[in-house]
Amino acid sequence: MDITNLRARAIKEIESATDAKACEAARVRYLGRKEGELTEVLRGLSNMSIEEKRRIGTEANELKQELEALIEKKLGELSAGGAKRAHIDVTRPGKKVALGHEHPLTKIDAQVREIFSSMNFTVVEGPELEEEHYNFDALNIPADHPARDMWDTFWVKNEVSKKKMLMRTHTSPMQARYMEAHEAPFQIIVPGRTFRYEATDASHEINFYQVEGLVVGPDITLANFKYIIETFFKKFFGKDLEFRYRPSYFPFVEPGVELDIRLPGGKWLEVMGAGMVHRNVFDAVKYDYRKVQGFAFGMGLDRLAMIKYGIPDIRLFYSGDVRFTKQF
Amino acid sequence: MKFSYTLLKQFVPKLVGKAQTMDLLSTYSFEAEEAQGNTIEIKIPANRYSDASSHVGIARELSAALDVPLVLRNFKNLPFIEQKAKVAKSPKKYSVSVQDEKLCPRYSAQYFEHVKIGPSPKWLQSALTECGLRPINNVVDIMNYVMIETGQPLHAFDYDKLAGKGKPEIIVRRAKKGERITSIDGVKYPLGAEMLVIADPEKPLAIAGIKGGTGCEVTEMTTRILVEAANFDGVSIMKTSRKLGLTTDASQRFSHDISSSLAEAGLNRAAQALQSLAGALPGERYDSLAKPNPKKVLAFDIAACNKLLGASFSNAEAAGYLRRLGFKNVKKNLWEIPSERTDIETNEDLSEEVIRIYGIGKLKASAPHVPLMAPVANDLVTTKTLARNMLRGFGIDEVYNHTFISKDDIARGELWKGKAIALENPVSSEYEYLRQALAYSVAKNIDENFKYYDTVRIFEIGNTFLNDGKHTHERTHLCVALGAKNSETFFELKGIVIRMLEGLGVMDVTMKELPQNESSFFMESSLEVKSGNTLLGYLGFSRGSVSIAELDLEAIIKNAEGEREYEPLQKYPEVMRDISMFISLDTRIGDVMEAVQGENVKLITDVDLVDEYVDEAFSDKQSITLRVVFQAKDRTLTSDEIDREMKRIREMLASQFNAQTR
Repeated sequence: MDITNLRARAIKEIESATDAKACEAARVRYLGRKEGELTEVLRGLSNMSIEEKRRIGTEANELKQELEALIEKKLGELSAGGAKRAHIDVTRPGKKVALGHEHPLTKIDAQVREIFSSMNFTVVEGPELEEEHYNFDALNIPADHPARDMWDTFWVKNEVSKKKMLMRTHTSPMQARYMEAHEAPFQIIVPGRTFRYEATDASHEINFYQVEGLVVGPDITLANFKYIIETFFKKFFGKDLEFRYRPSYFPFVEPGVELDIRLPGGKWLEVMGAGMVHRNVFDAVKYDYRKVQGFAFGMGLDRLAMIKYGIPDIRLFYSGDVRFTKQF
Repeated sequence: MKFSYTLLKQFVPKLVGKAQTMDLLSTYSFEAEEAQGNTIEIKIPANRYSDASSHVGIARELSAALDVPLVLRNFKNLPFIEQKAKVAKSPKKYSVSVQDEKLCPRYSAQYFEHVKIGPSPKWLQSALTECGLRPINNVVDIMNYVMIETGQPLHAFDYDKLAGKGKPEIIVRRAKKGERITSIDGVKYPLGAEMLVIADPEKPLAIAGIKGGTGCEVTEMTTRILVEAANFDGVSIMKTSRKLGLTTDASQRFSHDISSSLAEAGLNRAAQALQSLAGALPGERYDSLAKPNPKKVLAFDIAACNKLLGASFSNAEAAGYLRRLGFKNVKKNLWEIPSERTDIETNEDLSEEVIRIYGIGKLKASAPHVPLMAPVANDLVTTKTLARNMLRGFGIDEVYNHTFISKDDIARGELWKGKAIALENPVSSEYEYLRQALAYSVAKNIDENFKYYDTVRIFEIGNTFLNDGKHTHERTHLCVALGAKNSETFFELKGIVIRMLEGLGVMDVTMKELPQNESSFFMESSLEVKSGNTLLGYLGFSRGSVSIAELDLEAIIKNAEGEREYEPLQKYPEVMRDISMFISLDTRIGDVMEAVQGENVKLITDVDLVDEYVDEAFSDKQSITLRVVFQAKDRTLTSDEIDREMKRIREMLASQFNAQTR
């Protein structure tokens, strides 16, 4: 095997190439994976004696690197020097590379999670098909309580057990589920899909998203709620936000409050219901209300997305229309 | 609930307009909304009907907010005069028997004579109109007026139309089976044994707490009346009202368990109004409640209040707010709660009164003191994010669909084995079942989006539900669909699924072709995706150009490997050999490749399909070229060794697949 001869022929051929095609032909001839001359030499090494292997192997590998470098250099020269022939107009539009789009609710959800995570909250999720007990009874809303009318409920046919099942009307059932399984203190948020039996229109859907928050500890106060939630909304909407608090009623909190926000130059918008966890809720999960206290809040993600992106109709979120998703 | 601003202003003369009134209510009490004319729409919370479904109650809230005393005496049109009617245990003119004290904790009534029926005064009529009630005559109007003023629903019977032995007998009892009643407005209602009625010995007179019946109503001829002021069990009234589909101003109030003390206040006020506005002469009063309810006294713990709120109210300051709302300080920290405030039971309830009258907005926000603990990452939460990011990178757009699907959707075929779960009360047949898989809606999305695009690439992540006969399962799925009008999409999707599973940590993935099945969601071919023995999901054609994969994210998480470990970098060269062959068109390329790989698991590191060709000239054969990559961890492989391997492969291919290798 005459490496020296091979080298001379290869270099000559590469040097004399006048375009990229000729250069490529030379590469295939000598370095081609299938029958390149130098490739064959390298392949043949396994049959040689150790002595030969060492000598020819080294030479051949060095030549391989040399030729590769030479081809690359030559190709570079050809494309630069041969500007007249292979001119690349860099002002032409870039190739259309596809990147998928996230649903706007995914984006809003991610922003909410990120802000709360940065404040040391743990994100948990819960079942959408829920037991009546967690959705209502454990939250101080017993059967036949007129307050149940606040939630129009989808009931589910349960063919496997006697338990009454429903599509959760809020993310609040996770309050009870989480406290049953964990000790205070903790800070959690629970984003998730919720359901209401109602006629759909531009601002109502049969399914939508909520984020529940729950902070419990020995001395968590209503003033703490204001701090956490104002911090959240300022990070989410910007610092020039105004807040308005109103008394409200939810059976699972006492006191109960409602929060409105106003963006600069805008109208007051209802964004959140909240309050201090009711002692009956603590009772239901075997917490001692004399030892712990805390706040809970719930807000609609769809509403936040509608406010932030100026989306006029909640039904767009569930339309499956890619023209909608592609905007975000 | 509708309220008359005119009437509120009479109770609280300091009010300066509707806007201010609504603002005060919203800030300190209840959500209030603009309505026509002098009407204000106020949302009474479910726990406040007892004290606040009345103008006096709302006036008390407004006076507390403005810090002015509520002095009912000053009401010009119908001054409040303290009067105590004597209660007769067994009245001479009539009798009352309450047969179900649980459903009717209190029944009081009073007899009036010399009643002159006529129109009620203008101010009263307009107060009613502003509250959405229609004026009829002075007696009926007084009943309604006293209800909107005090919150106690009342009913007047024409005394002379009541039956009884010797004297009219009022019986409060459950309805008899098959009993019916025709309401004042002429609608017939069938009654059930769980419903409570007011009756005389001959007929039902009224559906208790909901609506009066015909036959005993007050008419222009009426001169003697019996006025009822009762209290009924909230749940029973709510159930009856629902069952009959009949909601009235009275039923709304009773459904919310109003205080029985209102009955007395209401009857007193009605007696006064009937005397002033209908010239009536009051007669005997009856009350089933022998002893008045005990006063509710609570200890107010200011320290606990401040601790709950994060505030620093002084005792005097907090006491001031409670007093404004009509709470009475009995001694030290003991407070008597107004009897109609049925919602006040705990120190938190009292704390709420303090903070809302002070103003929640004024409470100073403060950062919580909590031990710093790292948030716990949830596998499902992280996996969803990871999957979304990968799919986005593959150029796929995200969609969200409804959780509910139709019978027709389900009829498209099955993916996971199990029964769809149905709603008891669907809004429409379009949304009758809980989705067992996302693919149903996603497949529809592709079709709909073909209106605007030639290529549609979408995914959805969401929860699915099914019943396997024993249990109900809720699982988070991921569905990816690629549709192109003019080209095949399956192999790209297959590649995406493999890469994505790898990205989610599932290395050991097998895909087995499923036999075609009539009941399957996938019309043509499909694969079952597994890791070990765990089913991860399915991948198949929905129709020619639309391919869909649906995977169970929770199964993926279970089969994902943790952090990887370093393996020494490969020192010895790879050797590639191509092998071309003719195989039958029926032979599955996947099976051939798997068999080649299986020939030597140690040395063969990869098998790839580099060429395939089908030509009519080959009749029922296809030509394929596989590239086999050999590599050993501990040595450079010799040609002989590889030749031997290749020979074995050729033999295997010939015997197992009847392949003609070239």
